[in-house]
Amino acid sequence: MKFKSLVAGAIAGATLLTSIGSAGALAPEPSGYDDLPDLLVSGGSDTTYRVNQEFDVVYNQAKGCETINGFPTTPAGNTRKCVGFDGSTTNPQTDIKGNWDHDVNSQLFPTGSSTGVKQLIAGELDMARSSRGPGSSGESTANFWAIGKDGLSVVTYGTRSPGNLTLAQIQGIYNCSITTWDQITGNPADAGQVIEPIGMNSASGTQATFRGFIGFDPNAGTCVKKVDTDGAGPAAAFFPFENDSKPVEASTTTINNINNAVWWMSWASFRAFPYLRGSAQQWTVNGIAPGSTTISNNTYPFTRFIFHVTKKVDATPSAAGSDDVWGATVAGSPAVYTPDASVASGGKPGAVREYTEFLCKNSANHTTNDYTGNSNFVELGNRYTLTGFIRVPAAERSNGVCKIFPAP
Amino acid sequence: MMKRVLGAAAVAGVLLLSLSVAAPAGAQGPTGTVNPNPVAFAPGQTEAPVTVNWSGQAPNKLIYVDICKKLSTDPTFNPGQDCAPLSSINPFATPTGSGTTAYTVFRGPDPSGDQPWGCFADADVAPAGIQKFTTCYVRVTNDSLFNNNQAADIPFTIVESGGVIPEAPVAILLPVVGALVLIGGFVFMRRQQALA
Repeated sequence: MKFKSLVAGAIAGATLLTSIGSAGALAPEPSGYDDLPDLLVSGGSDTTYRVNQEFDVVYNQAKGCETINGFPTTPAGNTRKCVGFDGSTTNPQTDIKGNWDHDVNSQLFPTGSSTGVKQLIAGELDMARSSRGPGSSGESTANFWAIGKDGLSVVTYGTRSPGNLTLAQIQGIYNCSITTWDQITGNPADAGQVIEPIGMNSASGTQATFRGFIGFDPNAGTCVKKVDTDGAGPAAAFFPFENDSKPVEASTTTINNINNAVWWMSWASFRAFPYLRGSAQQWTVNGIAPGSTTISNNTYPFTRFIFHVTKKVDATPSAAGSDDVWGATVAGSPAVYTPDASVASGGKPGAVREYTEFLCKNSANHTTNDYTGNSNFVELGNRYTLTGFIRVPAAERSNGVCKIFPAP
Repeated sequence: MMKRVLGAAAVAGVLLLSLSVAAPAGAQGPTGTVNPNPVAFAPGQTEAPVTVNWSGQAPNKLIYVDICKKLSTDPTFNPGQDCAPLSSINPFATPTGSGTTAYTVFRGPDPSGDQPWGCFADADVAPAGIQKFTTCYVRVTNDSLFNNNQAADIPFTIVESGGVIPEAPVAILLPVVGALVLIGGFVFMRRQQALA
């Protein structure tokens, strides 16, 4: 009799637990998902524009909930929401390692990293792209997620054969104390060849990074050239946007001899996009050639991370060393996500959180891409290669495959 | 009967010789070498220096050198997943389309840790989840990493220092066997003539 009571109690308890579990099954998704599709807008860096567009393709097509596909719906406005968003039924899909809500990411045309970060902080963007790290002030509400690594290639054009430049020589070129090519090459034939250093748009993260490397504003020197793409003359000239050699090579009114010009550009753009590269050839710096290994292990002097920037309130790591973004805990496969009551469970903040986690999580926590059969981790990897970047090296990762830099 | 034997031997010899010549002749356009090859690694060594030479690349175009696990001609080849991300270098372009560079090849799993494959010696045991390739390729191309039309895929293998000497490649065995068959046929014919 006593045994029967125990069994009955156990069955009742199990039933109760199961029913609680079933109620949860209506919304099994991670904390950032709410069964409603959000449109996210990101902007900022030119250098990382293309790679983020590529990431968007992977995320926008990732697996998610089964959606309500009819139109019109009763009540109206439910098309594209997840089946069961109102708790009326259970969504038949169970794979929550992709993009459950079918949120949509988009990238605004580049305005420069600094502008993008400012717009994010001002609430005009949901996320920002940056090719520079956090500033020392004014950005304390932002998290900078390093999602990849890059270098800065120092380049010359035309018939100028590349060689080696030391950091001191680059500083000398941009502070105008080294003025002719023979001071670099030691070749007397270069004595009359005046070096023509070219500046860069000051809103650019690539300009900010280079400024950090040489220790002063590269645009400040009196010898530093602007470009003039419409032939209107020096009065209409401007410091060009980064990574595109075309305006530099076309600027015949401000640059006297393209063979004497010096510039710098993203190593990733340099190697990935021949049309942007033009006739540029990269030099070694301090005797080290920029390459995937020398950039990965920081032996090349000019290395940098590229960043996905979020507001801290939208996306912060759940714990040191975790590949989970605030409010979600992944344990094994299939992933189990534990909502965190302290953060918004949905809307754009939730969508930002889930997308950030998608970029940063380890390979085991990704699912298959329906179009290729590859894991989305592989698909993202292919996009790094396509655009010239490398992933954050394993030795430098702090959260999943990312490294976080909270802005001070 | 003797004539038949001699005829067959001659045909076999010529065929083997022609095959041995036809193999490299198929590689029109960009070519290259890796030296040394096979690459000797000491026990526990994971990187080794080699010299890569190439020719037939487009003049004055940026060169891309990578380590890959597949031939560029494989219809499924994708540099993003078939080449090691940290193996990529870009030597200077040359006016001739020929050049040379010092390079480093690896033994073991892809050094980035993100690819589930690696380059191994025959006797190596790949870690769990890592696909073992005993022939990898140094891939040389120009202008774009995705330029498959002008890619030279140079196979290389890995041996452990002091290990077993690898078998002679087919490119060497074919002409040697062909020549031996012809010589054998000639000697046989001379002996038959002497006996007669």
